[in-house]
Amino acid sequence: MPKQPFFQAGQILRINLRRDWLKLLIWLIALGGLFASIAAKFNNLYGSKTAIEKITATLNTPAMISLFGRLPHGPYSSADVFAGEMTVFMAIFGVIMNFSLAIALTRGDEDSGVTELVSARYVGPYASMMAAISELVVANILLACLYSGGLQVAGLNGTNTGGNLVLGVSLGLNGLMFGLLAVVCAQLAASSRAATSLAYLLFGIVYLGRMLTDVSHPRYTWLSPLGWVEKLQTYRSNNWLPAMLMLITIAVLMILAIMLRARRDLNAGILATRPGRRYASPFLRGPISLVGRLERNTILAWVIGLFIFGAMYGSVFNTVADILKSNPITVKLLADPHTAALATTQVLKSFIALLMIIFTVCAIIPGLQIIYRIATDEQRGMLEMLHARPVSRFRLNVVLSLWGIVTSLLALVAAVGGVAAAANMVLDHPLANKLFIHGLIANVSPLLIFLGAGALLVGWLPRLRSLVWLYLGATFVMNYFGRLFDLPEWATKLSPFGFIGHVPASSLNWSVFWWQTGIAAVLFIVGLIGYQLRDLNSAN
Amino acid sequence: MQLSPVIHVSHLQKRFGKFQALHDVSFDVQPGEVFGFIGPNGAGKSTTIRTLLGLLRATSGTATIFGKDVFHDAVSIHKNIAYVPGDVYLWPNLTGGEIIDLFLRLSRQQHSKRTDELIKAFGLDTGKKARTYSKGNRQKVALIAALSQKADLYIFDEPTSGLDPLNEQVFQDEVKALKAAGKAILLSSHILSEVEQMCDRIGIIREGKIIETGTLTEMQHLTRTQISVTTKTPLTDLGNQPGVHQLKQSNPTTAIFAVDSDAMTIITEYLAGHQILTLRSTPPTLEDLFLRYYGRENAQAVDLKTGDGPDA
Repeated sequence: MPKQPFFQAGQILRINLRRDWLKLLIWLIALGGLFASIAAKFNNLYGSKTAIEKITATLNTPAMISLFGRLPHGPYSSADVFAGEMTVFMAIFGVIMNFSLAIALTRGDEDSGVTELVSARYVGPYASMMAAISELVVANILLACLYSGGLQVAGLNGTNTGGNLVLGVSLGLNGLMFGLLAVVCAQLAASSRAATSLAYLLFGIVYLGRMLTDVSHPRYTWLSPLGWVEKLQTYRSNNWLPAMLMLITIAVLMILAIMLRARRDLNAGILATRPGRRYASPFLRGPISLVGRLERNTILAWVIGLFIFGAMYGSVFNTVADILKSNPITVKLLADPHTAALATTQVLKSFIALLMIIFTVCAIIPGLQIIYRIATDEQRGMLEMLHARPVSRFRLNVVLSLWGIVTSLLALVAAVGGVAAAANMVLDHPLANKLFIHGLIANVSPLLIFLGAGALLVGWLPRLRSLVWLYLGATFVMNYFGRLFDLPEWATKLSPFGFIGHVPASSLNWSVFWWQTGIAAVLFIVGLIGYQLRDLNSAN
Repeated sequence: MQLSPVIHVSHLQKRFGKFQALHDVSFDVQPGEVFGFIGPNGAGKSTTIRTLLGLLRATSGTATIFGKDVFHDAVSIHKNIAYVPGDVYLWPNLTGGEIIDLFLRLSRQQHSKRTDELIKAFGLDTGKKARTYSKGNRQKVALIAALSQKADLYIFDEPTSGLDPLNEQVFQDEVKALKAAGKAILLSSHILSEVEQMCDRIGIIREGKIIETGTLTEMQHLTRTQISVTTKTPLTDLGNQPGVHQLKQSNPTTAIFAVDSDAMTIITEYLAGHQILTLRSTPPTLEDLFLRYYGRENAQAVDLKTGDGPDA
């Protein structure tokens, strides 16, 4: 083996870049483009003094601070608002990108055996790792250039070059820092799935730390590495200290990663993989318990995740209500407290109706994934031995479908529970539980139709099953941004959500509920029949 | 005593779209019999087995196990069969032990003393997650689950690929024990020594057709014996004798050739006439048979039964 530890890292980097260029390009265009296009519109959106006052008032509410971080003291320019609104937001997207890239480049390549093949060549012992880190460096430098360049071009009111630089560079460094955290996680955990979970767990902790300190004691936000990007004083004093801190952390994490790599074998992790059970628990005895055992962590993660997701939205309900008060016209109209309360409720009801669709779309994801096990596990060859046992196709399909439905419903209930609980904590006049329950019920039938469509495809045409994901994505975009696109009425009817109205803003329509559930049932049954009749594929 | 066959396959055909995977597959497996199913990759071994398991629907022909239709009565058939696929894929986040127990329970059976014996014999660490298992270890999980199960029919599809020779031996011993206990076994393999040692009868499949079934002796009888001979007087017209093939002569008195079994008497008499100095005859191994059916070298060789050239 060559003496230089990183010998040939450059060569490996070149090969990796040739493989990853499209993925990198998509990330860079998505993040850089999002950032730059919002920056370009900002002078229009928040150009006037009143618009700035309105948005900063909102951004200074606790709920918004918990989401976007704390603004410095006023007065504010458009550039200040941009920095205040976008910094934490873009930092989070940067973390997601870097986690995904870093884990794929380290553990991902190790899991798939690429690292083993490469390491067997005349390369330095840490060359693969250094190539991975170099790719992260390249990606984040490019991103920083896009950010700073985009800001320079956008020319926000109140901008300055120093501020554009400090914001762009710090966001890039922040991404790289979390990328290296993921590389460290990849040394600790023994599979890319475990490494990803570990990285997100650590990220969750620093995110929570940032959020809690932001709301209460902003001085302590320095304690959370994710909080450093908030301390840039962009367009004010343009503080480079956070960037220095990030650089130091990056160096420390890099040394740590190399040290950990030196202490472990290829394909192994530092954290010992927990030996599992030698014998199955008495509960594991059939398809029902099998799916439960396989999916329990995923189901739990989705239910808890959506509860928190819901609660985060619920915590901004008071600010949603406050929007009415900030508008002088509505304030005049709402002088009468009774009308004011009614109008507030009406706004919140529409907000709930919109949230319900977001929650439902999210809740469909884990359920559909479980139903799709019929196809994915079949393709990966895991069902072959199961089918050779006295377990009928019918039983397996019904079990997976039921687990999928139950999981989606649980996830939806958790999200609605989260939003209801948090909303009624922050609101002076609590909303009736009936509003949330009706909103939930109205969305159950579209949820079932999506799952049924999935069951239909795995029963007959498992190869085309990603169509349902596409349909779900299109539905989401249509409903979420539909008003911006000014879609015609018939277009909204292309999705099952187009028929349910805006419950609880409009009243719950039971006949829609029943006919949609009926359609879903037919889809499930037809899918079952297909699965009874078709050939089951093998893994090869 | 003629028992009804455990597996009865008659003119089975399977088509995937335009591709005809099985043209004509017919064979029976009797109780207490190890039936070897051999053929190269892609000949249709796994397709036949997957049809027998009810995973694929036959395009035409009939296939029954225990007298029941393999597709429609799959569940009731599966109560009494054990199966090991050639490529074993397991749920990565379950341990080998959990998967073995789950499979046994799915067949309404329990983790028994025998299961523990098999785990020990194969040397499997059952406490590890399946994601960490090598191909051989995944194979062991399937083998242990199948062998510790009480069944009337055992189906093994290339079960020893990925196993080391010690484990291969364990597997062979287990199969012999099953056979002694009167179980029916369908063993698909391309490890011919394995089939040669264990199987009572053999079916050879090529391009979706069973082209030969019988015992190894029957097949040997149909084929050629390899002869290597040195004589005192030159073997000038050996090539003109009936039934002589692949003749190689380094000098006039030394010859290596293959001879058809039915021409053996004539040839031995011919050789004796030239005063034999050394003679070595090797009966055809299954490998020879196999190569004869598939080998490129013998593409011109005549089909043993019909005397026609192979249609490949």
